[in-house]
Amino acid sequence: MSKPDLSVQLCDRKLRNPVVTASGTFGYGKEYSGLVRFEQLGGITVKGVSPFPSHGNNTPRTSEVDFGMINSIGLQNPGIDKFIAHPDYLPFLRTLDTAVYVNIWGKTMEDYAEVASRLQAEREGIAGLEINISCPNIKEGGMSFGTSLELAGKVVNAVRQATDIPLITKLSPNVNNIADFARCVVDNGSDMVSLINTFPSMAIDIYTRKPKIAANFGGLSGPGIKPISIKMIYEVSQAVDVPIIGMGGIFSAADAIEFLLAGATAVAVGTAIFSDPQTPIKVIQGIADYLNDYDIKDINDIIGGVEIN
Amino acid sequence: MSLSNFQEDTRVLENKNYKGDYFCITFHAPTISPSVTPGQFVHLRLPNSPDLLLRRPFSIYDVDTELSTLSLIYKVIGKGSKALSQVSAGTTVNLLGPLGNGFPPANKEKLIIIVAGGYGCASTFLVAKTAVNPGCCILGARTRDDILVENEFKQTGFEVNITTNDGSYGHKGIVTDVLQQKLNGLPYNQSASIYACGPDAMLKAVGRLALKHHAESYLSFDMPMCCGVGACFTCVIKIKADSRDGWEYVRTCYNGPVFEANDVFFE
Repeated sequence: MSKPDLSVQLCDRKLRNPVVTASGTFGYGKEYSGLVRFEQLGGITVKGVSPFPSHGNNTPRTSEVDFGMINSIGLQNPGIDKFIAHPDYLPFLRTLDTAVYVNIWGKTMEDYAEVASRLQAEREGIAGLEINISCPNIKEGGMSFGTSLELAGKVVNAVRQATDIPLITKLSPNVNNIADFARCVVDNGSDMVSLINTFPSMAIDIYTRKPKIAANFGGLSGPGIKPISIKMIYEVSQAVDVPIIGMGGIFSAADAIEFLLAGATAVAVGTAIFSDPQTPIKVIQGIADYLNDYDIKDINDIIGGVEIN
Repeated sequence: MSLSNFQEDTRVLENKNYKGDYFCITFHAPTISPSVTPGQFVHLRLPNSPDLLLRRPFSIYDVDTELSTLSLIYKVIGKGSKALSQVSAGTTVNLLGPLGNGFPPANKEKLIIIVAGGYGCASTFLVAKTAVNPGCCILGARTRDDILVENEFKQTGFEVNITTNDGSYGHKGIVTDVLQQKLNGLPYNQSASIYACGPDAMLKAVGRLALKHHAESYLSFDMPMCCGVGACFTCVIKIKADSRDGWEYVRTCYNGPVFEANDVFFE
């Protein structure tokens, strides 16, 4: 039996398969270089980079909950200068045989544009920028941009003016109608969308009566959020005609296939990597097996293939 | 590209109740065990616990290179450690490791002083076992029932000192009482290397005392982790840095868990 074609097209970049890592769960790549074979991955998305170095939030920053976890890391990062110059970051990422997406964020509109323009000047080895307008864990910027149609449009437009690198906008699920946000960011120049980010959540230690996270609230991820992700991806796929990178609770190939059927062109594995760093590789293998079982030659034949009742 | 860390399906050889809430689990781990250095850890995926998504980090207590085994000591505290205590011999358990930067090799000229609070003895035992010249160790705990592996330390030739908060065994007080005496009693031409693991407050006190006596000291921090390899930024502690605040958050799994006391930003 011939191997099915797993490659997908994300703007000008052809990925060898549709599986990438989700921002914030794969560090800056180097951290997993001792455990994961990058040359087998469709791509990786690195942790959010801002114009300035950021300490992030106080500890504890994460808490396990049943079938999930809550995080409030607060986008700790070395800042764009160090990201560009230090051998552990962009210079390392350029050596990898996989597509590299750089997640960017800021406290102001100008911050987003600044990171984008700095990366425009250093674009070698960068397949795309993921604009993070959906992080629930920072006081300024982040989700406040992603839950207002006006601000979301403006920030994407500002980044678009600063770069011609392909843009992905990472959408927040914490809105009334996510399809409206997808349309808005695409109208303002986003080439793709990724969804969903995490859900604001809370866990309390009943013995100390303290929240389990220093920042009190964090973002919920894990398999429990998957059905919500699937619905939102379906809705967005009906609203816009750009590639969608689907994420939110993918732990297996079956999960990933559900995302593809709902309309995602690619999928991102996040929290599951903490459980098993080989999850993305296992997902790729499992998708290939599924296509073989159903004698499907090309993965694109299942994208958006859900048959609605 | 070669892979430098290992992910291995190991087999549980034994999982015994050590005493009280403390357990000792031993794995056949032929891939991971040969490259373990003192103070490193493994990141363990609980078998049969699909509701608990995250791995658990444990210091490597002991390795047997001939039998290709490694052992951990753990205390049953929450859901994860309870589930681990119920794992039976023969079960397959997936480990990542050896992870982290452990304790540096001891300088033969210096007196090694191991300071361990509670199950901090687990991460420091290999220091004693691999030391060329035995030194002394100070094992501290709340009460007699929390003093672990005393005989094992004695068998390495180390002098063993015990402290308990309630005085139920050994010196009544805390480990730094004894550490102070040891440092005061050093001959003028003898310097010490301190290797410590325990609760944060203990590490802070040990670090301060070491700095006062100009003794080098290496502190192993026990922080909750998610990824164990530096990707998620959960397990950070404050390390002195050339930043506006004089510190930066550094990942204990990736840059530690062992840090020189002089580098740690104590508040």
